[in-house]
Amino acid sequence: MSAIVEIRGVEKRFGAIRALGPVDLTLAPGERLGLIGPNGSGKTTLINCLSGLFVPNAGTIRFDGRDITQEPAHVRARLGIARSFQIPRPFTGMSVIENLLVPMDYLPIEAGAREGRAMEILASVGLDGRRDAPAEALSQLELRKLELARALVIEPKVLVADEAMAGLSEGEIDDVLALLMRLNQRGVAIIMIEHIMHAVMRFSQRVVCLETGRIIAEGLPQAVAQDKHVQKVYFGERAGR
Amino acid sequence: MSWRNFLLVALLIVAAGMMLPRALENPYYFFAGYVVLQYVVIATGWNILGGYAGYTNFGTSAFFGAGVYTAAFLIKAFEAPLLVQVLAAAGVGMVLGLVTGYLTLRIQGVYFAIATVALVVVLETVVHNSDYLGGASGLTTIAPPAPAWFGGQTQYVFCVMLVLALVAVGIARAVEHSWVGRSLRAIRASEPAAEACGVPTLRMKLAACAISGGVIAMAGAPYPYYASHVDPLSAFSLTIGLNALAMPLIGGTRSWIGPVIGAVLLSSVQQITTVTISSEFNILAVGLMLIAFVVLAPEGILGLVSDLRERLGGKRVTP
Amino acid sequence: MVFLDLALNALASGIALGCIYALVALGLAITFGLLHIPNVAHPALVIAGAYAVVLANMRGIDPILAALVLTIPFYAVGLAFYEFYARAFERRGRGNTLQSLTLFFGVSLIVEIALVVAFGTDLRSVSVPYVGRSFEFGLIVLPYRFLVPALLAPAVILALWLYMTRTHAGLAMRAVAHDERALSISGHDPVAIKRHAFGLATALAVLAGAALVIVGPVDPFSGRIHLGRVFAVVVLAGLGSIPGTLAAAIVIGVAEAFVTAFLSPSWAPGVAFAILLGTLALRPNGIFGTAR
Repeated sequence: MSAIVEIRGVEKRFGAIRALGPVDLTLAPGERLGLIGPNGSGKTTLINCLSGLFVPNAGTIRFDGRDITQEPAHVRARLGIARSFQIPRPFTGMSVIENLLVPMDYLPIEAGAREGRAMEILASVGLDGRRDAPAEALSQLELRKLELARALVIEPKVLVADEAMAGLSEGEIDDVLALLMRLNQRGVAIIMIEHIMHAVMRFSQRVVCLETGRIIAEGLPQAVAQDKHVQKVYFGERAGR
Repeated sequence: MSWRNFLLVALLIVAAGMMLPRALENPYYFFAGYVVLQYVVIATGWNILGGYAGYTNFGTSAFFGAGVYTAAFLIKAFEAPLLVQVLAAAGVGMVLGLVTGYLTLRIQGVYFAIATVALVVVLETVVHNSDYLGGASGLTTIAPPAPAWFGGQTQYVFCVMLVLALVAVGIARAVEHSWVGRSLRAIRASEPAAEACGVPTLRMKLAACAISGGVIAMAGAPYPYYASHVDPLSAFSLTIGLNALAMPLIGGTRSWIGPVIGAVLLSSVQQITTVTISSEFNILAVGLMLIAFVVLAPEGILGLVSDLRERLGGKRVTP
Repeated sequence: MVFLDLALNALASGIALGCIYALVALGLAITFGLLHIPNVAHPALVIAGAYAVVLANMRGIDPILAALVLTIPFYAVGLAFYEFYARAFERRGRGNTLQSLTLFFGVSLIVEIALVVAFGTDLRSVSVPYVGRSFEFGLIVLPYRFLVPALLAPAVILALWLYMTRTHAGLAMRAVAHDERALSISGHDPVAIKRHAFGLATALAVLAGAALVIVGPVDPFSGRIHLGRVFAVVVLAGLGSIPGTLAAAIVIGVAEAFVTAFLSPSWAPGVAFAILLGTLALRPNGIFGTAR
């Protein structure tokens, strides 16, 4: 089974600082990948390169066999890469359902069917009761669900959830995890960036750990959790059993 | 208001406007009314980019002046009819908008604002150095006699500007209620999020730049006939740039009604104060109002009305 | 040879002008280059500074001396200005660009009108003993009224650069430009730092005002021609680069001088703006800037 995402030799520099790279990473279709690493390790930079917000200084990115390294973000979205943002970025000044209509304008769905489809997606994340609520009025959890709902409109093959559970209570975290699991069962590959360790470990089939822009560990969740480098990076020099 | 109703109202307004030259004796009403309508067009055009998409144009007078001088050039070179002048001005404005947008929109919003200021000076300098366009002292542009119905040039251009105002508002309304407007609002709210969910943000912004530039330039086209004389100082005047900013901000940027309210209100007040007090006071007052609204009521009058309705009625009405 | 004469003098006056532009742009290099606050009111503040210097000069005080003393009240004004801005926007969370630009635009108008009301629209200038005399070196003839303010600029820039790289407060300012969150975690108050930076920028404005009014008379609206020049300098230099400001300003000054000498003075105002547009199109990060 060929990889749906292939990242080869990707590097990203900001002026003199090398934020990322070189990094090699693949993602299989329908896979659940966890991406961990301390702050500043390059996780968000990596997915910004994947989703198209940044253009890497070196390396290639292939999606579903196609080279997308130079493609702008909106084209990648149409191809099937969706992402949520670390700090939710709802379309303020619009209602919840209008937030979903924005991406839908670019899909070949009949005008009459759009609202119905949007309501389906809202229902799948549990926001159908808030369809006319202004985006500004949503709670943290609802905002995160809206982020995910909006990402789902484009029927992605890959969803990147960037700290989708930050700031949520335990019950809310379970909520979002269940949502992502249901999504995955429909065949969507998911890259989860998280600091909430128990969530990442429960959810992921494979975990990758970044540190100062390089991959320092990769493998099964348990193995990565016990890796000495990973523990050093998270807990300091003297940790590590 | 559906499209059919809107067109109906528009036609009624045009008909009423055409009646006015027969009803009102004093040409001053048309003289002042022209300015108010001109600002309706300018403010509406500005708002398509500034309000809907959130990209501030500080150099509105560049586009207005371009429209004025395009018309003046066509009068001098070809004695072109007014309709051609208007269409050409709109075309020039669109191209200018596209170029400015393309140069700057790939970076950040702030640079677009700065570039628009630069554009004013560049265009003004070009005109200053062009003898054909009259240089610093300007060009005299006497209009051919107006159609008899109107009774005078001022009344005629007033009615022309009335039609242009309705066209401008029609365009703004069409954009606002379409998927274009929705995408622009998304861009205003969060450009990265819009891009990430499939909105071709650059293309949409360029479209808004072009439409906005075209409408603003269109407002300048009848000016040579209105004033019988064009010069860089009045064509590229700072007051135009200032008002283009203040009127939508004070009226409300979310909808096409806001710039109309702002234009009518501010322009009428200015007509009165410039004559009775002084033009410096005018600028001071506008500056203070601008700051007050930006800090206290960023959604403008429309926002205040909406807040009031919420407080009285209960549910918040999403614009 | 006439060409060489013209060229050398254009070069000399261009460099001198460039130094002065750098001084005018310095305050903006801090507020916009480092803090990313688009303070379009800065040129108006520079002109206000020029008028303050004119007032002092009417009492016989040397303009540069007056400016140095005036940096203190202008610093205070800068602090107050930032407080107003911060209260209006940054503490509200998402104050967007349109609103802050409009705020500064409004402030610049009010400053200009206040100057008109206080001083009228006539041109004002200062009288200094060295006006009218020129410095001569070979083919180059440079009036002292250009030379003296031009020498002020590198001195001030050097002082500022030392401050930004050697003192704690200066380093804190550069740090706030990079990562505000990290800075606040390490115990510094980003708001206080930004406020101090704004105060500093406004203090620099009065020095720039003195330089401008020595070169030539000013009126309340003189700030407008400089707006584009100043942004052109900051953008060409690249955001965040203080030494780059001097280099970029000199490039613009020399370009203007050459256009004035070999084409015509009426094309000069367009030069800075054309350079600005060109930079934005071709190399938006400027010559020395760090990519965002």
